[in-house]
Amino acid sequence: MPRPFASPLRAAPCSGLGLGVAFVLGACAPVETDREAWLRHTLVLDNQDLLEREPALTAGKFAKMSESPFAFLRGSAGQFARDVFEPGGAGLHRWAFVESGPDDVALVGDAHPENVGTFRRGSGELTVDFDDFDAATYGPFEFDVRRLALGLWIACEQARALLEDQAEDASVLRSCGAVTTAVPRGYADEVAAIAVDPTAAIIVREDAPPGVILADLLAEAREDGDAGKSLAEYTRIEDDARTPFVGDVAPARLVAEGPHAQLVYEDSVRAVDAPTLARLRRLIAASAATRVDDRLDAGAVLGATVRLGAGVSSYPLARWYVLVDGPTAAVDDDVLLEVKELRDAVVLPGARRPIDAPFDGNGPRVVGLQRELQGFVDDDPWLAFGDEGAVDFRIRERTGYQRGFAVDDLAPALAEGIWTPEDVVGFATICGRILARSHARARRSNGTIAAAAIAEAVTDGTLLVETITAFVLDYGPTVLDDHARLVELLAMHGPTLGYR
Amino acid sequence: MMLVALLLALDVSPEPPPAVAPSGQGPIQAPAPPEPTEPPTPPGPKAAPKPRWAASGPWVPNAWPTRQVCGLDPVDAPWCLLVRADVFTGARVGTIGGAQQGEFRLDRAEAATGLLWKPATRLETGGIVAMESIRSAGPQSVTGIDGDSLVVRLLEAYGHAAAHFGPIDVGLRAGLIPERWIEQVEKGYDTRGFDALASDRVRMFDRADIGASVVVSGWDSRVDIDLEVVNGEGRAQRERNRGKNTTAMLTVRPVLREHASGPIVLALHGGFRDGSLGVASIADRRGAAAVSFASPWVYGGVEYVHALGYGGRGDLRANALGAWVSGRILPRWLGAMAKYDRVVFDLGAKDSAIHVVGGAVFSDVFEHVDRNRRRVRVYAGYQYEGYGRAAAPLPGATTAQDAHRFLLQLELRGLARIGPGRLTSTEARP
Repeated sequence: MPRPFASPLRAAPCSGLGLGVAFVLGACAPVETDREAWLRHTLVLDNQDLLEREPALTAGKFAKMSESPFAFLRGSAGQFARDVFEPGGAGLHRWAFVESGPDDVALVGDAHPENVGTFRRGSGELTVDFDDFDAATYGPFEFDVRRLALGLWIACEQARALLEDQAEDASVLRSCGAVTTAVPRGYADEVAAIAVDPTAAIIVREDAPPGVILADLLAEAREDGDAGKSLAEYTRIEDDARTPFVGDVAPARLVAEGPHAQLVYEDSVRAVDAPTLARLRRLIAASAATRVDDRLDAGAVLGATVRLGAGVSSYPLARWYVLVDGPTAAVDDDVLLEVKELRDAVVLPGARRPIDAPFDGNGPRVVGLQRELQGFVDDDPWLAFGDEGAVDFRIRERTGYQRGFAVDDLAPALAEGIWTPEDVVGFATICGRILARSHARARRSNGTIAAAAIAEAVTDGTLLVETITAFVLDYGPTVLDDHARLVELLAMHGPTLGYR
Repeated sequence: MMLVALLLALDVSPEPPPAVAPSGQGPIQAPAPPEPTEPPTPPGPKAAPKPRWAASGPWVPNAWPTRQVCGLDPVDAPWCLLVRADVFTGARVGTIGGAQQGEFRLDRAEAATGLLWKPATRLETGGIVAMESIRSAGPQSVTGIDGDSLVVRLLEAYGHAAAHFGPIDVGLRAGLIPERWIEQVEKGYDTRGFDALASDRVRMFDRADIGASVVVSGWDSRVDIDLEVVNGEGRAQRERNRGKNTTAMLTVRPVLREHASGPIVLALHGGFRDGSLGVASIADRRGAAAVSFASPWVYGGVEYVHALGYGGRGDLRANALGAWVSGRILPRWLGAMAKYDRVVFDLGAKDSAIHVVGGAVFSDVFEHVDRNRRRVRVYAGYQYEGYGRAAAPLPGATTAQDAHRFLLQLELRGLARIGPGRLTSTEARP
């Protein structure tokens, strides 16, 4: 796909010089700016264990991040956290609500628009919520609001650049500032509403979706879910028995940066060996006790595959699809579960350590905070966790009913007039409201519900809107530039950014 | 804790108790030469004439390579085995950002052993292995090893040699070696059990790194020239770039006297480190200067470190200023200390300084020959940590970061030797 913000690779500065002269002058050495060096250093640091364990997949993650500014944003939560907390950080802005408000709110941790998606509850209703809690932790609520507003601004700017590249009318999106402002505005309004009436919290329902974008998302989820899309894509039926499919659901691709090329999986599933299958059987069985709905019974494990290509930040992590037998002998009620490795939450440098956090592992943390932050504890009734010693895993249902918002849909939908800029602003507002509801109804690390403390700090929202907008408009261009920097760094140092 | 107790017991048994000065100010150190209470070499017909660097004259604490921890003789006492343990632990209560905090802490738990060998009159050599405990989970993470267990890791592991040429002593270390800046300046800092030096606390220098160091020391440590070449990634990481951290240090001790109660030392330190960090070889340079004073009654000093590149940001300019004073009011029973650190992590940001002010009274459970060899000290103190309006991590939220804490701190240190080599007197440290 086109890279709207990628600048061309720096010409080798020694070209045209004699080799000896160039060597003496040091002109052939790639020159990194301080920001480039910091970016490379921290990306390697954050992924060092994965570079050792899965070098090809981690190189694939970097390549995937280089494909668009939004993909870069998804893979750079660690850089964002450093920038907003560390001395000298490009996003080190005044924290306006930490003195007057709580600094230990349950956070999504990586709130961005592609982490918003649909769920089918245990009751069968569809709803919309945040859907990725791998980075969930405790901290100042502004952290999530900043990240979400930044994500929507990046998505908007990316769409605008794509429309310009395609000679489309980009003027429809001249209001990326409005998209940004909508997030804190929605957040403040929701907090105020909950403070008055806790039952007024926003719950997205299929029969009355708020806005065109979420209506489309819910309609597609209903269609895919009813059609059994995930089961159809990742399994096959032979002789009245369902078995896992092995192969490419979507073909892998090569991503080239300068002289280097890196294979990136899009959507592939590979066979697992017998010991892995045995491990997965144990995990599924042991995790049953961590599901909220004990009526759900994962039947016999019929098979499993390794899933490659999912996610950006979590692209190199272990992920399996496990096919389990449904309650009847029919193949229609078989269930596809995803088992995904969990890692520590993104470090918030210098922020108070969540010593009061009632979790003793990443599985309980991710699943516990997901239930804490989502509208219903049974947004995903199959949600569970398990562990193998020091490594924790999250288990969830893999179904067409769970469909995430895709930033790549923005530009074509705007170009075709399916969505309007007002729809995008409306979507941003709803994202802000869902985030506010998540924060406000969840327990802080000290066990108290956060709503009153957040409402007291936010008041009418004027300061929140002002500070969040100022933050995004100041820091956002740095993220766009960082994406261009990553493209150059990959060209200069290769797919693993020079890690050896 | 038991190890420290064992070492304390071991330390006392083989040697006569130190004489206490009439003033009660501490153990008597014989003027020179040799020390009557602890001769560096055992008496006997085979005892060789004592070389001047091994027995006499004024000297500084922890004076390797000029002096060794054990008094050795190549014939009668060619070796000794050392065991050391440090435990700093305590309780602190107070507020951070107005929120009540209270916890028991284990700030340091270290154990070390080393073999010291003197194969020839002008040469000593040996090896040291030191372990330390750290929390296994990273910041913000909830899981390390079995939760967030305290785990043991290598702090130091190195071989060393010291050679003597007239008034010049040359020392060499290789392996996971201690950082010389911290080691040198701490000779003039007596209250490590309460708090670390500013340069240590904010990681201007890492306590240990893999590499080698050479020290040329002249005239009983009146001048030390240190040169250190290490990976630059500290003790928590392996090398990630081709560059090495090179540190040069000069220490001059214009005052170096042996008083009946112990050594009196005024030291001036200066150093520069050219270094890089991480796969991108990010600038990580330091310029440092310090003045320290050590005596049996009062310790004091000022330290300043300027960073050109800090924390993986090559363009960051930071500095740390520390000042301390401690003294004994009623020897053994009562002492007092005060310490002030001012750290600015981003000199480009106005009003971003972090101030740490602390004070404590302390008491030694028993009189000690030296702080490293045998000390049980209790501190009761207060510490304030205040943030400027623009200070990270939460600029604009000063009161949310300000901390007040009361500390009750226990410092236990013990050092013992096994073998024919005799433990020399004050300030030994393997």
